[in-house]
Amino acid sequence: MSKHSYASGFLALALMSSSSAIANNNDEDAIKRGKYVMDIGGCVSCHTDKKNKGQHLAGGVALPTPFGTFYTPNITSDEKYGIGAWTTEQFIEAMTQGVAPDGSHYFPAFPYTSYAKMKRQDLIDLKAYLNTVEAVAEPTPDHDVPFPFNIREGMIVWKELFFDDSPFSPDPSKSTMWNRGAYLVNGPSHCVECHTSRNFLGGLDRDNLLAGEPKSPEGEKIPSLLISDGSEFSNWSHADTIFSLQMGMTPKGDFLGGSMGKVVTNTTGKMTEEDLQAIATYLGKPVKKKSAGKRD
Amino acid sequence: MKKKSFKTKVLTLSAVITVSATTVVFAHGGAMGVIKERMDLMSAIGKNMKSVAAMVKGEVKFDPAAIESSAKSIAEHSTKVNDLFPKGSLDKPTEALPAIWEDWDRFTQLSKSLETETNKLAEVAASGDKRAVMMQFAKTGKICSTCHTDFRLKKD
Repeated sequence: MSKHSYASGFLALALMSSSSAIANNNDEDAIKRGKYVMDIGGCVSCHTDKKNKGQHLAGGVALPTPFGTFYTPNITSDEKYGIGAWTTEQFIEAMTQGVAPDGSHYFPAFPYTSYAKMKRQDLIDLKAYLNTVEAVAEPTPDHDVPFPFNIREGMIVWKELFFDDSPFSPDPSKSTMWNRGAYLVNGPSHCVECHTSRNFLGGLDRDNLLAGEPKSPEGEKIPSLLISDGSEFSNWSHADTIFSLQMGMTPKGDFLGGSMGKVVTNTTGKMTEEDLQAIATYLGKPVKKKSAGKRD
Repeated sequence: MKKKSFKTKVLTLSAVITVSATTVVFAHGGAMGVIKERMDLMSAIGKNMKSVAAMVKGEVKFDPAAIESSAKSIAEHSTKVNDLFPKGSLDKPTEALPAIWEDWDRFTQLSKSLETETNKLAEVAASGDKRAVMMQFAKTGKICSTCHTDFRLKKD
């Protein structure tokens, strides 16, 4: 869609989407699956302004970064302020390529860098769910990002440098469970986005994936999730890992708070036991086999 | 005058010694006064939560009497929380956020809920109903998480 045809394009979109929305809405299963995709993606953490009692997925959460403050958009089904007018294809393009329907590039504060790994079916289901989210006709504030980072075209260069849009490819030498965990951690649940340091341009330090971040933009210490570096996490058992993701409680008896508190509430606390086992397995804490059957 | 300043020096010196000694004894990174008191309080609560969790998780034998006593201990600790957060007490190494005093009503509401829910946990434990204990434990943990999410920032 060319940039100078907003108005007509918008109208066309609105017309197109109303028919696709009806088709999607009929699929109860897709909506149900899509709701779970929203949970494993933790959309609520950033798109619901709980602090200011904002409505479900209506955006407006301030995200401080070294480049300025971003405000998350409204992703309700509202056709003007939300994403109700988007087609499923436009939604997939936004999620996996970081490109808005008007052709502009998103800033990577929106973790499309991880969502690019998401399966097409998960994205279709997610959109089906989002179409059912009550429309909130509420605009969100403009980003407060100074020059030169406010130039969206700069994102083209950024993407060239730091964005790998290849889809998730399972490792055939590993178990199904391990691969599910790899998918969650690197894809929808986007754990890598906070548990990895960034360079001065905000690109992830992919050589040290999941090695933690000593000081997040909010001043928070984000722990390492590696099991090889003697970090606190490296001593957690499979059960400890699952329990802390479910309940927020660490083996020490402390309760996770800060940004991880939100993740436990909105994401991992809503995951199925199997998915939590998959994450623990991928992070190097495989399920212990109680009986015989020596399989590694 | 001179004597006094010598005395001050001695006092300062002994204070320094006391502080360093404290640091060695309590691993709370040089916390003093009310900051240290509340960090110790939180540790004590954590310890109790940990021992209940071990039973909920099935790592240790389910012991209703032990859970009851842990729960009562947390309930008692929770009544001290508000007093240990005097306005603006943000000295290092605290992880407390100023939001506590911006939203004091909610903060005190949470400490009150902690008391209520842990008292309930003690009651449920006394009944010996394991499933009910698990549910009530989860409810209690929710309060810890909520408070830590909104009012604490891990720096270390």
